[in-house]
Amino acid sequence: MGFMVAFQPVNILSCFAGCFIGTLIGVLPGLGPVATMSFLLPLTYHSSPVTSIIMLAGIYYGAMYGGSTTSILVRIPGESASVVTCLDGHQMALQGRAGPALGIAAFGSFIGGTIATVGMVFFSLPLVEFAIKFGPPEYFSLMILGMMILTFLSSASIVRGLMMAAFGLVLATFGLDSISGVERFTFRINEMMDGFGAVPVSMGLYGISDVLENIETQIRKEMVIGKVKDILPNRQDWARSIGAIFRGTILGFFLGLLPGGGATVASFASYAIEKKVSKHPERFGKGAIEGVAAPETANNTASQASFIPLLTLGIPSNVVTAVLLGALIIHGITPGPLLLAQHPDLFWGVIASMYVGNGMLLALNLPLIGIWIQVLKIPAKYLMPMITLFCIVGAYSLNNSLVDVAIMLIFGLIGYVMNKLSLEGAPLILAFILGPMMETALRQSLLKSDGDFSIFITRPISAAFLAVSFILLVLPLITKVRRPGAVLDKVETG
Amino acid sequence: MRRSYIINDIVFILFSSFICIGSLRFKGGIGTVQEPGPGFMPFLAGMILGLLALIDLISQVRSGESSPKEGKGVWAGISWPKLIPAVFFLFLYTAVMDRLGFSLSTTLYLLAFFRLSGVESWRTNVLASIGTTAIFYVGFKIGLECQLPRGFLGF
Repeated sequence: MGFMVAFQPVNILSCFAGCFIGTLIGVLPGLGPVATMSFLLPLTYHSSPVTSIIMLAGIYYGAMYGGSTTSILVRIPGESASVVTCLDGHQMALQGRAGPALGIAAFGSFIGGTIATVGMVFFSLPLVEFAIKFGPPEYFSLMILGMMILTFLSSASIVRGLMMAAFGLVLATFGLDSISGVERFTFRINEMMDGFGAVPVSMGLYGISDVLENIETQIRKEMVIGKVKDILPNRQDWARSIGAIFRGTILGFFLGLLPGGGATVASFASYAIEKKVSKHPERFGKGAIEGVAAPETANNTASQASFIPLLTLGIPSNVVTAVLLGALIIHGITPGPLLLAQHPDLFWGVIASMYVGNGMLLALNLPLIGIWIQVLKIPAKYLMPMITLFCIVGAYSLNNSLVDVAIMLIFGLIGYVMNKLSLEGAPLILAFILGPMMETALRQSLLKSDGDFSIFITRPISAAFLAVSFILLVLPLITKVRRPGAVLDKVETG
Repeated sequence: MRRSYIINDIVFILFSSFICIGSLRFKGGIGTVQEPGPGFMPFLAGMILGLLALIDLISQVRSGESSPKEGKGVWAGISWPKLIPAVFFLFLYTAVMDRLGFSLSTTLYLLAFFRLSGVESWRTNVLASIGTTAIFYVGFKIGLECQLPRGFLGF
């Protein structure tokens, strides 16, 4: 069924459009998949839910492919999951080996993505059966776990990471209370009855704030000059990379599966592990091809695996799938254990489209490298104003309201200040998206237990989720006890 | 950097206080644990935010006592002559879009923003602004059937 859906002409076109746009925005610094998916979201209203999600999904994993191009050639990551590729990728380019670097990134992404898609087929059904046992306490605890994992892995300071998550939860309460209908912090503005929209908030935090940073900071492009040749890696490159690719696949898959995981976390973790297991760790940072293969494989694998908790549990595991959750809800589809039974065409169609998408991306990335290089040459002084225009039009088109644009700009300023203070946006946006679901689950749980909080620890699955969350919370404190200087280190380095 | 964190923590403490006090004033208030009211979640989240900000504030103050030397500030080196106009143009554009319409307001906005981001030739600036506005108008209004403000010019 999945391939029948995926091979419908409109869906193939949608997949291609998503992969192309995703690769393009992955190549361009300053505009990531979150902002792009956010402002393209209103444009999917005219399409069917399946077609819309196929396109948006294509943008996400397409950006993972594209991000490596700018990391390798210009040493500026196209998006956050390609940051670590800059370390060895650009060094390879300076050594005249940009071709093999780009090639191994594309092939690694293809292998990882294909294996992740097979994994989705085998993992989805058992997870659906497991998720049917979930009640409000389990959902609440799982969302707590997701936020804890994301905060633990992405934030230099766990306290500040949790502050951002709490801030996101507070912002999520603005608007009408879904249970009682009471106005909460609406300031008597009609557009605030629905609270802050996820799309303007994420476009502001990720799109506008990046533009403001680029405006006041001159980004120097150290572009690799000359023709990129020998895109196919040689035998020695493959011998060095194959282990890294498979380790990156396994790590990326399981990190993508976990709530709070995702492509960025997977890429960093994969690089760190590769360096640790290498017999020659001193080569890393100086053009080691494994330093490109591992993170690029991991980020693409994680990006696709992160669809599993979204589709089977209805819980986004990272910011991007949070935007996809919003897209599904807008189309009247509630993802979760019943999605497979109620919308099998969407479920299997999206998975099958990923097979197709991975093939398209391999074809797009390598032969079209010349085009991506031209795109990279567009000066930032033209690019930045156009990116703001995309964001503004995208925010306005949601509800034909300038209030949404104003909200986006305000969050753009907030995001800019957060960047300056090294405060992570990911815990904030994930908590913001999960907030309404968490509140509903919490209140339902307390109603069910007549106000008894022990419901969260007497139910085994919920207790397990909370136990892991607690371990992640105290782990930095245990580290503090062993290394008394750790607190000071963390404060000084932010 | 530490000073900026301290200010940030104080702002969050004040914000969380506002949220907690506001939550108590909602119709239905915070309710009870048996029957949580509309103010329950914002109050809880606000309390957690305030508590975490306080912990970070204490940590920052204590770290300052042991190493009083503050490094280069977060806001040092920022190009304020570029940043402030950029923010101003963004908000001004939003404010006038409805009155002037998408086409006119976007052209004026791009003229200002291109100049700010470094396009020095006015001729290039004008051509780029008009061209970009036209592409966006055709792409979004006609191609994707988005509703855009019409203003007094009607487009």
